[in-house]
Amino acid sequence: MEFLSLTEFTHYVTAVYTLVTIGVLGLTGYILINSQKQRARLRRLQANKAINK
Amino acid sequence: MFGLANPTKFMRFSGILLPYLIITTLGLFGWGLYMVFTAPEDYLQGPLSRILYVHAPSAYLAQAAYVFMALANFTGYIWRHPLADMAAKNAAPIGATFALLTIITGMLWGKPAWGTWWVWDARLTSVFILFIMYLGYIAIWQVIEDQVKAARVATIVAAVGLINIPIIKFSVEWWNTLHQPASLTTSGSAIHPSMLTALLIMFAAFTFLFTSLLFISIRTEINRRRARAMEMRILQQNIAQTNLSTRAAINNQEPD
Repeated sequence: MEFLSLTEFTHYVTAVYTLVTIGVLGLTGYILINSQKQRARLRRLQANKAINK
Repeated sequence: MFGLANPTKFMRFSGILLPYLIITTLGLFGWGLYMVFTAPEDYLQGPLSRILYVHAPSAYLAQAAYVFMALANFTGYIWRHPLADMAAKNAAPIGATFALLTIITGMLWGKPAWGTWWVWDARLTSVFILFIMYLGYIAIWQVIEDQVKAARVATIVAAVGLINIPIIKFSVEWWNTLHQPASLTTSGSAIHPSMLTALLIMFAAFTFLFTSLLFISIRTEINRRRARAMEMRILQQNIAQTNLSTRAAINNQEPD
């Protein structure tokens, strides 16, 4: 174990929690945006189908 | 369980369950993070031990997601359940993200604790291979356009990668590694209860996060396939109409 100061240790902990937050929020955001896109695409097609009938 | 393999039933079932899953996930993360930052620090590592509350659940989830993905692929391959392949396909990006987070958080813990960002020891290397397997698996679904064919190839890749899971688990016992052995085993725990509670809550939070994200992803996939099927039907109708009009035009032009 390296002899680091408490501040340096805290920097590593902050970096980890920041990266995990970015990773989890990034993944969730990507999944939610994709979900909204597909829902909108399906609704548009269903609306077009209803108009054409 | 197999009754839910029907996409319409799954959409109804997941639509009811999803709000509860999301609320539970958020609640567990709030509770877990509170417990993590109020739990006592390790006497040797100091604040650095707080990294392990996200590193260990990420590592567990990366492996669990792979096992789930492989089992879903087998189910799809053997019983031809339409949802099984969708579940496997959508579990991969989530698992890959957590495999990457495991590597990054491990590196950020390793530098101050071991004095190095990375060593090619058995545990670290096998987790890196897991991440590469995930990337390969995702690439298969992207490259092969025919989804049935893609599912077959993906099953083979998932089966090959499954060999890596026990290697990751037992690497710290089979070889001399820099990585420490498991602190949580079936015979007991080497972690003090004050820290163990926080860790277990984080494990539960990560599991619920995976389930919530997977449910949303499968619902998206079902919508995507339905939209694609509708587009194909419209395209076929348009082609049929064009053919009819062309034929009519040709018939009108034909000399008597």
